[in-house]
Amino acid sequence: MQLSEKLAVPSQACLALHDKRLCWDSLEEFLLSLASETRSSFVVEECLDAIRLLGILQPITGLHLPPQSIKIEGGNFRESIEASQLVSRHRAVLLEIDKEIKKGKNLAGMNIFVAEAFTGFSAYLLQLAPHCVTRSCLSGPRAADAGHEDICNLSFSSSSYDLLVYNDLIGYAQSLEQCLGEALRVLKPGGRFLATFPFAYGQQETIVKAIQQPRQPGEPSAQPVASISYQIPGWSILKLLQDVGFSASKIHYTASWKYGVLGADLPGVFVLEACR
Amino acid sequence: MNSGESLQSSLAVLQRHLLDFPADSAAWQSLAQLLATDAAATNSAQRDQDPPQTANQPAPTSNNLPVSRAPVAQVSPASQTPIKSAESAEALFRQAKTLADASDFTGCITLVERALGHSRELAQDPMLAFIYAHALRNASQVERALEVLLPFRRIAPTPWIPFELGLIFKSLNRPTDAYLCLKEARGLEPEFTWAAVEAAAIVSHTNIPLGRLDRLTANRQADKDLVELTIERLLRFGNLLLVIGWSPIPGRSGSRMRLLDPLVPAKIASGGSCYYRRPDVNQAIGSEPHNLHGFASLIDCSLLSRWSEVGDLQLVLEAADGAPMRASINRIRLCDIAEEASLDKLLEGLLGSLRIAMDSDTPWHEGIHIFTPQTMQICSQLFSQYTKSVKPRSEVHWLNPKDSNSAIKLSFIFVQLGHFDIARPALAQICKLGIPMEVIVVNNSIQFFRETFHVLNRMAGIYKGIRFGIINNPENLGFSAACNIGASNATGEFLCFHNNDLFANASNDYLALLHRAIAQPGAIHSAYQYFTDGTLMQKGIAITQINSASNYDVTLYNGYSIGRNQSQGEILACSGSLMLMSRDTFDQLNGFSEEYIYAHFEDVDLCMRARQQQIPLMIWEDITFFHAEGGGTVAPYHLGGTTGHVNRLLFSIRWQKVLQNMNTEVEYVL
Repeated sequence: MQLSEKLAVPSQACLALHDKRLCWDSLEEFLLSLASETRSSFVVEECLDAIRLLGILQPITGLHLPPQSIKIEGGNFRESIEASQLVSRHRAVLLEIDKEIKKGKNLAGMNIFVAEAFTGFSAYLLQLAPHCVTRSCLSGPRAADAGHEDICNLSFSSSSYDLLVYNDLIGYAQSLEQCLGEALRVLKPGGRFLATFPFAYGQQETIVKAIQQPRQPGEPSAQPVASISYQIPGWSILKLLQDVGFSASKIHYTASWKYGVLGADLPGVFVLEACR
Repeated sequence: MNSGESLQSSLAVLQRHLLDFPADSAAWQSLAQLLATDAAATNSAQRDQDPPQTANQPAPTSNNLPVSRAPVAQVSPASQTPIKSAESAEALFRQAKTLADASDFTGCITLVERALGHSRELAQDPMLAFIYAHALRNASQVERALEVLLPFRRIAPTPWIPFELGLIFKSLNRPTDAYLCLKEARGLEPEFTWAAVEAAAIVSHTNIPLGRLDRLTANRQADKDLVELTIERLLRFGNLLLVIGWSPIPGRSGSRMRLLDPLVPAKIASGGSCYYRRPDVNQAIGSEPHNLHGFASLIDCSLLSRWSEVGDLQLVLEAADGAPMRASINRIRLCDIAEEASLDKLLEGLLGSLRIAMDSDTPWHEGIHIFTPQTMQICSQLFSQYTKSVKPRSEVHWLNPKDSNSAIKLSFIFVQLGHFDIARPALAQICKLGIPMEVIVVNNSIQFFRETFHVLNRMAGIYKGIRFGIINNPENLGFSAACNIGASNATGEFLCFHNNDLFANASNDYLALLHRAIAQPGAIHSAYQYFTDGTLMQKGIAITQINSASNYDVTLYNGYSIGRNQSQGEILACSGSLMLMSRDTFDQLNGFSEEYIYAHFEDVDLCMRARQQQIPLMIWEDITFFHAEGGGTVAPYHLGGTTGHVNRLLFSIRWQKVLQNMNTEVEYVL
């Protein structure tokens, strides 16, 4: 076995990413850590070796997932370390949820909305919190089976949820401000909003990649419009959250080979948290 | 436990430890040793595949035994653990649990073993056995743990025993047994999230087919002459409950299953059942050799008022004539019924069971005893509601614009289930007709949408005078609903319902049929159909009364093609494979009945309704069509050969009163 040749206590740099959690609420603060985080991306390979050798722990349940149950394909480790149909960014969100559980909250008793359905993440959360509401927010043939939600115009009544989880979704919102406003509306006071998204972490401004285009003539589609809006938020999203009325917001950063959370160009995964 | 499994178990413990304490250099060394042993064992196993050179008992190396037996976390030696005398099983359990909670599993084991040495009575205590097994498992003595706890499985006063057994089986790499135990634990305690999570983790890692493993444990009652059924699958939709499982005795066709609610004895749910033999499956699931009989029962639970409360319902098997039951009380814990299935899932299970029964030599007229007249009608109504609910999601794609100068005379409506390629001969003939018309394909198999879209799109580019459309249904809605959707989108004065595998002798046959319809617009028109070898397939459909060995509650009637069958009879219907009528006539008949499940008998039903409304049926002998039967449809397993029998039953129930006053021929079905 090749890996057994490497068997020794991991390097200090790798140990530093054993279960690293950081948190910032501004670009300026983040820039102070950026250099060291960029440097630590050189040990990602060693972290992957550790995962290949030891497996990972499933967030929340703490189940040990052995190496043979983990699939690592491709270099974007935010998306490519897959186990039980969860990838790095899913596990990063689950670790944030786990913090609430550790504070003594009962997950099964919380009103949770997960803006996705039929995914490994929603299935996992449903196991833990069977009452949580999962709805697809992207259109598609199966969307109607689970009910479809427009994140810019949620069908829920105000102040109805304790937790909203949007995984890699807000980038597609036709209006980011409207999307966040709706999230605020349906959250109960004290409720939390968790989101992952491709993050322009080096800048304040949001990168707008595409805006909504009118439907192309002859397009064989039942949808009234074709939605191709796409944006990559920068740190200004925190200001936007404040403007729409969230009381506090911050960006969590997790780099943890223990829990199988590794990132793309930086070794960790960013998770946005906002409180009503 | 063999040394390989023990190695894997130790490896898992070590990996887990290092994930928590990655700087533990001693643990890394142990891991290196263990992996080296593992590699040696793998090599040895590979060598063993060759003719063995040495005795078949592998000598334990100095590495493998100690490593495989030793838990990673260093436990205090047993001799150092102070053992207090336990006055009762409960006190002993508390002491043992305290030790186990502190990860002192060796101490816990020693404590329990000493106590058992003094009093054999304690060995009968299930919770003591539980904590003992728990400690043994954590101290890597997994086989011993199984030996200790297995006798208590059925006693199960608490979900912890099946839960611990589940974890033991998991450590022994027996995911099937582990899953069953964990399901059982959750069955005892629905809020037992950990059992659910563990069970889900096992399923996600090992790809266990859930249908096979969702079996529930039947509690035997010793004082009665019982048949212990194994319930393998429970599917619920609305008030219908489909029970699939195994019985050690063959049931009679027509025997009923009943569900009794012990809290409300007056409320009884009842349903029919069918039985089959599957020696191959028996063997595959590891049951005793070929002695189990498969059964499926569809029970109408509309009289029961509770589903979700924790409690038991009794499943009672009763004889066909309703005579006192021979035996058989099984208990179903309703909390084990995890969730409500969708209708298509229920139908898949139901029709799949019927197909399996027929495939294993159960005649269809016995198999359909799975339906009672009541459950048959409920299924039919549910199917009709289902098609109505899905219809709004059908997408309509017109591939070329409508010519505003000329009104469409004829709309062809094809229903697609499977490849559309087989319709090319018919399309080639239709495109030559030179009349303003449209071709609408209603697609019931979403996976073939792209293929059909491209075929029609190309034709739309070539034949600009013909309007082509494709309607994509998100689910298979069956033949009736598809025809009705096609008709509702059609703009032609006449509608022609046309199977994909049908074609005319020449294009003129289509024109002739249309001209007859124009001449007599208030009738349904069809034509003689021939097999591709030129022999007559059918010149119409007569209705016969079925006389079979199985008695059913209602008289069964059959639609009987005159042509392929030599007998003669009064023609009452034409086949839905070719029907041409005016839109007004179609609307007057209110279209095809969507209460028929997927396909078959909707055409006979339509013609019977036409007959009631004095709408004539014209089947033209001088117009010739060929039918390459069967080639156009790719039905999934559960729909193949089943829906005809099911809809025959529905048709018989629906037309019973009318048909019994008609002079129908008798058909014998053995």
